[in-house]
Amino acid sequence: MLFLSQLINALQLGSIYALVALGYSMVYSIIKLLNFAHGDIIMVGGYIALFTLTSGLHPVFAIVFAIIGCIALSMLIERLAYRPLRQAPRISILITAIGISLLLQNLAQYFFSASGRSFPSHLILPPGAVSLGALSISYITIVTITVSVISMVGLTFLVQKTKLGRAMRAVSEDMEAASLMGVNNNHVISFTFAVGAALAGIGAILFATRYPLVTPTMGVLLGLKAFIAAVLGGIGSIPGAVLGGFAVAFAEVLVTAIGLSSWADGVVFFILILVLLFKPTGFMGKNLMEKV
Amino acid sequence: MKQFRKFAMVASLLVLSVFLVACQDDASTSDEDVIRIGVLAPLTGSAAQFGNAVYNGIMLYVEEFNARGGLQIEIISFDEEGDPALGLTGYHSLYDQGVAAIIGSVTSGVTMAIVPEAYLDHMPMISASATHLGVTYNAETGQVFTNMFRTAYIDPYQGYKLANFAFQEMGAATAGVLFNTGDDYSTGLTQAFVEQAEVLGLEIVAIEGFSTGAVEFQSQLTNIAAANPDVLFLPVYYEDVALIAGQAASAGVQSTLIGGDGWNSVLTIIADPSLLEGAFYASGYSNDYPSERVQAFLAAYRAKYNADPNMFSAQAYDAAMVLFAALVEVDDLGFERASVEHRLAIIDALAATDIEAVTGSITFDEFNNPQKQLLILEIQEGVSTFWGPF
Amino acid sequence: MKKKLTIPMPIRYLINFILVVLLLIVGHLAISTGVLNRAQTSIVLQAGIFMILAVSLNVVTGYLGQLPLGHAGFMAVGAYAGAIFWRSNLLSGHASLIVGLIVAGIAAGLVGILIGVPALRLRGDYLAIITLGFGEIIRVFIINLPGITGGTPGLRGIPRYSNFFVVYIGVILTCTVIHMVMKSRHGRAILAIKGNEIAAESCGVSTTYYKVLAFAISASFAGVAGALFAGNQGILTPGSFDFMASINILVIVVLGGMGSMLGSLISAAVLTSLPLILQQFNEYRMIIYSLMLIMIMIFKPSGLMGTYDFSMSRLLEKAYNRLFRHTATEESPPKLTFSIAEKAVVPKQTLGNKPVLSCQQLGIDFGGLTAVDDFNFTVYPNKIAGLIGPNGAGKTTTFNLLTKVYQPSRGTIYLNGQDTKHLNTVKANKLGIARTFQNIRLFKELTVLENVMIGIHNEIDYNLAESILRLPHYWRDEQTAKERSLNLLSLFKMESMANYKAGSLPYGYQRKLEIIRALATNPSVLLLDEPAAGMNPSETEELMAIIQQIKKEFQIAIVLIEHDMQLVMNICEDITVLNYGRIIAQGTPEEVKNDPKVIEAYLGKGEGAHA
Repeated sequence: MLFLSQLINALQLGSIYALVALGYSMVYSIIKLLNFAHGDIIMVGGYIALFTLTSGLHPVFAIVFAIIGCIALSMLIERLAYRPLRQAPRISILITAIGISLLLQNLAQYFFSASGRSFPSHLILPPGAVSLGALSISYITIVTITVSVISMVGLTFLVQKTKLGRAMRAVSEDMEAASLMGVNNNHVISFTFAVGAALAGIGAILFATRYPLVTPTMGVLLGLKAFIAAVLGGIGSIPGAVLGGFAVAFAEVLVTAIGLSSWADGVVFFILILVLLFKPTGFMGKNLMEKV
Repeated sequence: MKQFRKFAMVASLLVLSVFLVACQDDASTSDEDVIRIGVLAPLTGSAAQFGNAVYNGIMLYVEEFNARGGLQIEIISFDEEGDPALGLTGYHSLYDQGVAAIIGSVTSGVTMAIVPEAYLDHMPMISASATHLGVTYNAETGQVFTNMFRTAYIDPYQGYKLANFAFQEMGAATAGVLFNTGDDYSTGLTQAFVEQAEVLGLEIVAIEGFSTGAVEFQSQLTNIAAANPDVLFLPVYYEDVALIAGQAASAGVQSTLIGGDGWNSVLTIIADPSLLEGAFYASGYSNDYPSERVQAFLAAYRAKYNADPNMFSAQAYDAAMVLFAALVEVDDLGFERASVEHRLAIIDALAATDIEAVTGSITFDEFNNPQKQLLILEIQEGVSTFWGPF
Repeated sequence: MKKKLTIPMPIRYLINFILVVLLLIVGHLAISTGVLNRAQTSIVLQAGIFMILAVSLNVVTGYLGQLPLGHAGFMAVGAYAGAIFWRSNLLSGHASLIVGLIVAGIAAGLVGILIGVPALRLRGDYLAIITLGFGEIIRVFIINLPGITGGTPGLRGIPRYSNFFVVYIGVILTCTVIHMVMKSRHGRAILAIKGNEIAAESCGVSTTYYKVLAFAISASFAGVAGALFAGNQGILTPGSFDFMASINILVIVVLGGMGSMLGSLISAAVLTSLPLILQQFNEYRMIIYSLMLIMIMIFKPSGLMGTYDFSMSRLLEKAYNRLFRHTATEESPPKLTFSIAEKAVVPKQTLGNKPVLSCQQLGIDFGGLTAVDDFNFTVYPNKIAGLIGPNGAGKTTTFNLLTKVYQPSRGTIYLNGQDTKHLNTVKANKLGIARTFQNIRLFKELTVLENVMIGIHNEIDYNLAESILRLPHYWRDEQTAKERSLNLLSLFKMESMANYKAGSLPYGYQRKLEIIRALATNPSVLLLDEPAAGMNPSETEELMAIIQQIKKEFQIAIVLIEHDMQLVMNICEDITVLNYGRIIAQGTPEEVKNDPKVIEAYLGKGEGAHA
């Protein structure tokens, strides 16, 4: 029974990681950018949802505004900070992403103070659980897992079956060739950021409902873990991100379950390193060889 | 030419920065009746919420004190951002500006970095919130930093008292602990609690940790729920408490929750207070404490800041009160302000403190730690109610 | 025209030494007389520590061109190693201080190697992630080993050794050692790897070795800085070494300009003093800081200083030349400082008449696709062989196989009679095979001369210590390398361009330089991959002459991939034709020209306009 409960813990944690990891993966696959600011976009989504709820609007608005806010912010960042650097060395754009992440955190700290604010999660989803014998699974766990699975399926459909998805794959394969074939790279990249940000918005709602505390740094650790998940699964791969999310969650829960909780972070990083060493592109990543 | 221009740019940048550093005003001559006091606190960064609470408490007392006439206090503050290295710079900067004493710092880590240096300067220091044992006493060398005082409980004292409370008052036979492995406050309380529990025969059936910034405690709580202790000790700060309480319920933890003074303000950020129903926590201060001093402080604080004070503000208010009382006491001895003699006299006066402050009557023991009773609060029907001193 | 002043090396060192001592005295006086107050002194110390951190990180980011995100981890290792040593009281006084710093440097360096060996197999983003992971693991260890490290509450009572004198010497030593390493064959190798890894390997530079070396140097100085950090604060807490700490160091380097030591120094000084200078505006400081980071990346990605580095001697030279000698403009072509031998240096081995390169049944598959198969090929010294075929026939793949950039799936390659089965690109080069690339792979940021000197990398053999201490071996070898490089350049009439950046050369010269660089490695087989691509007829003409000259002067075997049929038919004695990865014809130009299969491969499909 203990084992089963821990298994459900891992599933719930894994689905949040997966959802956020998908955002990392989407962006990476298209412009090869490790978008360090992704976790902080979630933080902004959290604050938007919080303020919408406390202003008394219907919770649906909180969800909608959070998603729209994340999309707008993300596209704005792409337009202002990442686009001018598209031809720049990778290191410059990576550092820019780190800068954006710092900027968002510090702006939030300046405007909303460093202390956390409680998120009225009961407005989004009433607390409670489904009991299966001695086992109980909370509503939010069920919702999180469901939403993650739907997102993954939807995303796969989007990328594999739609025209826009085909354009995305083309741009990710070869930006120049795609533009020669009449694909508008800027639109496709903006769209990809939007999709990633929409996932971040959904993630923000689920995250804040599950962990009803909104702080300026709430995205940091989540972002880092999801980022590891994305890399572990093979960054750029949709099923890989999901797999990675669950792998990280299972590793954490397992280490904690056997009583070594203070080593959990270390173990996660250790697994990441091992996987990268033996399969540098992660579980499901494509092998790329430099053309000589 | 291009290179020369670059060089010129660099040179002017260098000159500019040297100039700017040099512009930091040194100890200028001050008015006869004004004493400069330094405040060292993290006003930005991850510990900013504590730093700002402390700062507000101090400034409230400064205002009241200066309004009484007579000796005037000028506060010079330095934001050390919770970084020990910057804390040291801040200490030196305050020293350079001729402060007679320092209130600070807020976190134990920064304070411990400064104290050995301040000790050599005989700089009187009083902290409202640095709770680590080592702030005033180096256990390894047996050295007491006689210049360092505080109005907060030390971690071992709280851990020790809370173990006693759980065993004696709550009748617990088993206990679990969930603590932050990356935080010295949390590890300090845990260590003392576990040690005292052993002495008492209070069995620790589960001890789990998490790292700073974690929000997911479900798997630790599942372990704890399986061990089903009578009490679950949470020696963590209020934000963590708010998250843990919610997840404890869904993990099926039946234990009564208890915690230290880090819980202060927990009810302001928990969405569903019923999750904490019946929990106990220690505090150096309670807004509900039915004393005249507390109520007067509460009213004044609300009037100035339009918000409720927390323990940090109250203890900071007291720290200022204790320090300023010492300043007044030595003021007519005729020392040159901020001279070594003046500082030594302040330290002596501080050591002899016996004052009725907001958080209780304060005297210092041989390690300069406050001799105060622990206040226990119980959460009933969504509010912290005063259980009594322990 | 009067001669331009150049200050000789020993005097340059003397000038720098005097400057260093002067600054030390000035700094010491400023602090002891109270010109700098205590807060400023404390900032000076911290700035010094961060200077060491930034300069050391710059070795990996700026010079090696990699992006590690765990520099604070190495700093932590050194900090704890030094602090634990000092606290143990094994030694006392100065001896304790010095040994403690060395212990810190070695400990961090060892951890650097331990992490570097596996981590540096990865590149770019992945290296960033893996070093981030290692940095965090180091912190988890510190937290979970309280018996050794003091755990979360920290390690305290560390002797406060870090005064101005100690930190200052630390900064100077760090800068000096790193400068000495970078201005040596080791440093050139590191810069070459940044420029182009595959080209570096094909010049016989072991990329693994030099990456790990750069990593170890970087880590050990970070360790020293860590120990100084411990000696400054007197207390160590694991929180000081988190991810943010690594980012802070990286930001210093990036802001100063990756690859500029001066930039790192200035930016460390400025960023460390900001919290004190802008204390009144501290609320906004982090916002400004992050905005500035983004702005600099967008508008000046190379940082404030770019790769510019300061040299007092150069400044003196310039000032002197400007004021007292009205010489020609600054851009005048650089002069050779020594004479060129009449005859170019001839390779050391005498090749005789045995085949220098022969391969049997060579083949490689990529996934299911067979790119090259059943490739049999032999070349003799003093011969020029051609390798032709339509686009995608597998010609470049064959070169990659021969130089071991790809490991063959089957078949054998013998180079100078030795099986190359277990060799990598570097070892194959050492055995006598050199190449150029279809898409030019020069070290663009390096000068023409330096490019050639990288080709000579393995011929000079002074070690790291000899370069740091500037022992006679270093001077001798450097002189030889420079002379030989200039000789080679003069052979192709490029000596006047010796000090130009390789990337700034016109296209044709870049091609030539690549050939010279390959020749500098003293090969017995030279592989030229489409050397005439993009050249106009007169350039091609000249190229033809050069190739024939190489054959004449060096008596080595040359293998040529080329689409320009006139060139191939004119100079090749033996031609192999590839199509779909297989040999379809082999023989003299005459034979090949008339082979129906070749005609079909080229003309039958209407390809190859000039075939």
